[in-house]
Amino acid sequence: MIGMAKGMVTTLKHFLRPAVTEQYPTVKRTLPERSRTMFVLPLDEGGLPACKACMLCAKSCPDGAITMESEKRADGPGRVLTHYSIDLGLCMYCGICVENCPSQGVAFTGDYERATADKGETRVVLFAADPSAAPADEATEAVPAAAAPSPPDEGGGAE
Amino acid sequence: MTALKVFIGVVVLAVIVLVNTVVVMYCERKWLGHMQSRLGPMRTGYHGLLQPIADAIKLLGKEDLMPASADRILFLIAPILAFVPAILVYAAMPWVDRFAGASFDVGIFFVFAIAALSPVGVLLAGWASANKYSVIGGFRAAAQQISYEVPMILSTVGVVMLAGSMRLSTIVSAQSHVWNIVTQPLAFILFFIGILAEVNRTPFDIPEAESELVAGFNVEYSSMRFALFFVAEYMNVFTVSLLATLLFLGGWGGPVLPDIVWLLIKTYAMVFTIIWVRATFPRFRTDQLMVFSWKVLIPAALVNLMLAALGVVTNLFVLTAVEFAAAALFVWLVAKLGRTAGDKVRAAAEAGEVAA
Amino acid sequence: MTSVVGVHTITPAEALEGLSGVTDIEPLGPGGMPCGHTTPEALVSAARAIKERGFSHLALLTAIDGVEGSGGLEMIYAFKRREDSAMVALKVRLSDDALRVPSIYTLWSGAGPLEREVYDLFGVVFDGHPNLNRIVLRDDFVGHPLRKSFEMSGTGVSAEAVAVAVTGPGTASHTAETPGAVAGVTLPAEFDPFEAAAQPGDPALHSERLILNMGPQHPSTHGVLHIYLALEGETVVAAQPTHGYLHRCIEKLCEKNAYKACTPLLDRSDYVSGFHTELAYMLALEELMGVESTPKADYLRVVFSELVRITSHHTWFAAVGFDTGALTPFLYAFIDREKILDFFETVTGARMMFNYFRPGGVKDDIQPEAAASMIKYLKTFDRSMDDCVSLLTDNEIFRVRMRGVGMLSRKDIADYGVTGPLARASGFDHDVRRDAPYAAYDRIPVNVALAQAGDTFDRYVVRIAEMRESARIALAALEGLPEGPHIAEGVPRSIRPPAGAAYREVESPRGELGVLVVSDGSASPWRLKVRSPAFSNLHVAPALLKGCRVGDVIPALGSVDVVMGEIDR
Repeated sequence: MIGMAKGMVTTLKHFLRPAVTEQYPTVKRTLPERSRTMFVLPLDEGGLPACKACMLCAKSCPDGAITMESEKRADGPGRVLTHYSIDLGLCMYCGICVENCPSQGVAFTGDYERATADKGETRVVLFAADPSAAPADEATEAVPAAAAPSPPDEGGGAE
Repeated sequence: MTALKVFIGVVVLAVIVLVNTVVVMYCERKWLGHMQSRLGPMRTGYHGLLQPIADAIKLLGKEDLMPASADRILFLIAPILAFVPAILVYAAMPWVDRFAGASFDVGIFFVFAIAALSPVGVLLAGWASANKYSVIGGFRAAAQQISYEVPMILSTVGVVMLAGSMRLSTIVSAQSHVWNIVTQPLAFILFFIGILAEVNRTPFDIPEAESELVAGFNVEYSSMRFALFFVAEYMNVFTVSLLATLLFLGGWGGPVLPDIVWLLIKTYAMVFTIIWVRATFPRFRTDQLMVFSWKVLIPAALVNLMLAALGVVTNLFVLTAVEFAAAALFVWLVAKLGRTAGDKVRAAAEAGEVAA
Repeated sequence: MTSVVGVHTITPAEALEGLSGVTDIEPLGPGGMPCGHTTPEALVSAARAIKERGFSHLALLTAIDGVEGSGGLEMIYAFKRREDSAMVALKVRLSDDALRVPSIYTLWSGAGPLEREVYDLFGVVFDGHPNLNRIVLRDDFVGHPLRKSFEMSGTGVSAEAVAVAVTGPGTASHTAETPGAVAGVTLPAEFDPFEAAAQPGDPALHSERLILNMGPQHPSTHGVLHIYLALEGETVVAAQPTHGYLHRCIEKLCEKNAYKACTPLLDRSDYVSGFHTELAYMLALEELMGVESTPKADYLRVVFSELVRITSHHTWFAAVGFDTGALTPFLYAFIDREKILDFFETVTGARMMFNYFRPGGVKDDIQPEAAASMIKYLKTFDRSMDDCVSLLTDNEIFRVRMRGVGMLSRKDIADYGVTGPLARASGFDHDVRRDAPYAAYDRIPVNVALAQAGDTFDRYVVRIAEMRESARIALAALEGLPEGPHIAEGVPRSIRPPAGAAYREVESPRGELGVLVVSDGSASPWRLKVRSPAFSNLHVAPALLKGCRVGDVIPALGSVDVVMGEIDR
């Protein structure tokens, strides 16, 4: 029974130590910086999204969770974003959209408390140029450029 | 008047027992949690103190089901048959020097006789559920309880011999100089193993294990009937802890503090040990359980009986010495059996592999 | 690659020479194993000859839909010599109007389930197979999804199909008319429950044997697994696993996605140890692209592979404790595991679905503080393992439950293609990390844990030893982390490898995990096949459980350590 006694000593040791439970939601963790969580479209100095509407994120999303609309820029080449939404119910938080974006147009916020009981709320509009035209979902906006996360590692990728 | 006094006495005793049962339920949740480095209930009341009440309300609120092909009368009687012996034994158990129940000459005999009724309730529950797995579970549980009654009771015969009486308060007074756990350690070990099996606690909790293939005898029960089984089990834990205290730990004896406090301290120390064992050990397989009882514990209990007889005719020092030696031998033997289990099959497999 | 041990050592190329019916021997992809083409008629004799020439382990059995739009499909069989991990392959070309091939079930019992999977997903019929039924899809599914002609839309099961039982050529499933069958349930042909239940010599009396269905909902089967058990009293006389409840068509999805987007999907295959599937995929992809990963990335890949091996074995340890009734090891294992998962989240961004390995290296460099704290943790790992282990290893009750129980013979291991700790517990001294090193394993020594008796206890001991060894390897890799870039230069953002195939194996916590990547030059893989070790390991269950008692079934199955995500994909 010596082996059994060893086990009992271990259990007693743990009994006398403090428990490791963190009582959520009284105690909440801040996630690490690279954590893949809720999305935001960082804004530039002018208050407009840094997104160049190149559609790279939407095309590379394995689940097709991103919906975006854009129109031709009035003053020069390129396009301007008019609507951006992600269906969080489809998203698998792989981070390919954030990784592929060439202009830091989409980023993670660190917010992980996005559970909802209503399936209709899973499609979140992240930017709508004309808010009245957007569906009456939750609209998350306005992370000022100063608070935008640091640029992702450029790891040797050639265009 | 006397009838009224008796009635009030019964109610008071029942309330005390039920309160202690509820405390045991709470202690298990919290202490098991802390042994596993977690907190246990924290939200229902301050630090989860109201958790047993929440459990009771939850159980009462469930739908009361009965399988269509169940034997109606037996299905209804079985939980009662499991619960009544659990509480009836308290009639003979003393809490302090003055009795709470009745002081029987055959106190301990009465306790064991009533406790021997509990396998009947279990068997009926399994049978009446009309579920082949419940029947098997009921048979196994009843077989386990009946098998382990033998070493459990045999180990207390030595205690009775030394005290010279079966009256529980006399047994406690006989320990006023030295506790029986010191003079008869082997008996205590056997008794402890026996009570773990009697109340279906780990490592003998196959009848109610969730991770086993065959469901337990009480799987078809819900709501209040299940609550009766559930409460009966925790009440049994308290009962056997109290018994162990009275028989081996000197009952209510102790310096400074009042008698009842000592009794409760020692009883809850036993409850702690039972929970401690649950947190640490895996469980036996049914056939291993039966083999352990019949081939290991009963011979050891018979040896203990002889040693106790020797102690009666000589003196306590001799008894203590031989009992400690026997206990050490027993521990070593069980350890050896455990460590070398399966060796033959393994050696054959290794030889077979190498030769292949 | 020539072996230096044994008397008859032949190179893989020589193994294919002179076999009748085997022609066009060429490497499978750049630097790959020699692969011969053969015909269905010559397949069995060629496979037997290869087996007799020492390549006794059936590593891969799958199909690739017609390459380069040529129609039909190609069966591919890969064989391995365990002694030195040398491999050869055979390919059989089949045309759409003749999708039949003889079964090699008589040579390897493990080919049975693999061929069922190919039948299920491709529609190839295997002549002589004892039980050709669907294995991952529901029995009334219409169509064969991994063919390119199968369109992915909706659920893939039409409303009519739900009402129709599939009885294709070569199948022998019971219909509702078979006595003893239950409506809506199709039993495998070889498993007539009443035949299994009948007493030998007294077929009329069915009362002694009991059919027990274990799962798919059960608190103890690890994942959604269903096992038929035929019991005689307390002893199991027959067992048959059924799975497919977690099939998510990962392989088909990968064919629609860009190469980089397949990585998160493969994470979800073996979700308990996602890095290994990612790594096998990256190695195969790098071989196809002709890219080499950087030294720092090699070391980082080793660090993460070993750390995730530890967390996977922690999960197994928790389950082992719970299966035998010990409640506490579960908690202790998960507490220890948390620190590693926090490290994963800090460096890769996720605790479980990492998406971290890239062709040429890893996505982000490791932060110095994270590396330092993990080094500190790994230095105390042995002590925290001692805590966990003191509850089980020396405990007499645990030993009585586990020793001498669930014996697995060497013959069954070779026959069913069992790999990993299951094989090492029976004395098979093979580990891909040491025998065919990848990443930085050629620079960091690996001590392989071995046991001889092959019972549940030995499998337990081997995995505990592997955990400690993994901690040592991860510590050595972290402390010896070279300077330099974490990803190779010049890897294009959009990956289009040249046409070809590559198959690479890694040592996952469950065994030899291989990924076959077939490219047609476009931006999506043409075929991506995961050789799942748990698939082969699970299907040894009939041999493993035969003769076990009922109370031993769950610990024995727990010792196989299956992850349904990898088995069903």
